Amino acid sequence: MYYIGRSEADSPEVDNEVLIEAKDTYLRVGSFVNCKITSAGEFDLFAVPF
Amino acid sequence: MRTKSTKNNRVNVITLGCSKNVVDSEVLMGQLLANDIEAVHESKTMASDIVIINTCGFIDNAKQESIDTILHFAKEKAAGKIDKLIVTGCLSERYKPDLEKEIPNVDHFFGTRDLPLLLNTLGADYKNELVGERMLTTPRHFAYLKISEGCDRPCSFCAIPLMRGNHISKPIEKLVAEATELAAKGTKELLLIAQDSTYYGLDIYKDRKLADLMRALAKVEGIEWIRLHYAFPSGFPEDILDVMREEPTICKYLDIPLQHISDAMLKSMRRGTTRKKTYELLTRIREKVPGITIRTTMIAGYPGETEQDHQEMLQFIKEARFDRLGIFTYSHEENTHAYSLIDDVPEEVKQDRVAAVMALQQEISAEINEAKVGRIEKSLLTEKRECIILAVRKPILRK
Repeated sequence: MYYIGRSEADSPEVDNEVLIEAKDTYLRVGSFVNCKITSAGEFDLFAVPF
Repeated sequence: MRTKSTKNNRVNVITLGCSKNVVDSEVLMGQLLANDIEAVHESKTMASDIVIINTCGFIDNAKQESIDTILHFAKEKAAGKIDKLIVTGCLSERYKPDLEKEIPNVDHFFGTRDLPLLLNTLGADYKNELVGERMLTTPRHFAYLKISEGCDRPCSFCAIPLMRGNHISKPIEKLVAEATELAAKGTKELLLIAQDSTYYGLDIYKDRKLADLMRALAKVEGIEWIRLHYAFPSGFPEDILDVMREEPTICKYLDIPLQHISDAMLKSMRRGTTRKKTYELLTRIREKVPGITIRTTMIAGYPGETEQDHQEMLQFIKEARFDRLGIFTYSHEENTHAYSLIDDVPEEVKQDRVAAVMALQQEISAEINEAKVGRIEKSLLTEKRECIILAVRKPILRK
């Protein structure tokens, strides 16, 4: 399962997003989660829950 | 002719333009609900008898989008698919007589300060006691908080004061009450918006009070992130930087529209700042708030912009290394100060300059992103997806 998130550096609508791959972790939309950035695209960041 | 009572008819509200307009739509919908009128926001599935379009009148593309939307629904009305069509917001504030003449099938045009009149045409009353109450249209976890209305700035290119009037700040205690109510509804992130957020307080408190407001909002329980947008650079209240550094719920994030860096351009744009002051301000912002994310917007092809001015902008962007940057081509707007100048930069040159800036910014953004690999970032989850391919990118440009 994948989640779309925003870090402190990302404002909604206008900024980039953090794309989080969470294979074995249940996460709830609307909650905060610490994640580790694993790679970077030109725009978005890819991460996994930490 | 049908003689349905408007009561209990569903109203579909369409919002165009910026986040300030989103808030206005939310206030309008809050008032409709309080009058027992069902309101939906941009519903494509639910049939509505009444459509209200909240328009944008800022620059050429935005105006065209608003006009196209009005024409679309005017056609729907002509075809009998809707009963009533109302147009409100910035475009109709600015061009009401022209729109009335040119576009048939619209029942009423209202300006940005006509909400009570608009409600009356639907058999509803404006309820004063509801001030601050809105029907939220954003996802549950974030909401906009409009801290003031209007703008007292004289920027030469900008039509907003024509449509939104003078700056009026909302008192701190009202905004804290609004934020507390939003937190109770589940809002976790507040986006502070205004036409000019750093002017906050000058009208009602005779002093810039944004730092006090931010400290007060930081105490609202349940709000975990507070983000500042539309911070005008001239007269920038630097005490907000201390608040950003000290208050954990204030995001280390600043949206500061700079528009240009060349002194000739800044002067003609009547921005009240200079190249030197801009560089110095950015240095102080980064010194006082280490790790801050800075977003800015620029204008390409303002009247009289030379190749050298454009090169100066590129050099500035290279040096300043903004985390986020949006750029627009200059739009020649009637009744603005700059309208008396000649719109002399050809459209294709404007487009080329935008492309050059965006290409440079993409390199910078990629480098900034790359430097984040390996870091731990607290993130607010906004969506769940089965497949990452569906997460298609939005362009960096913004309204």
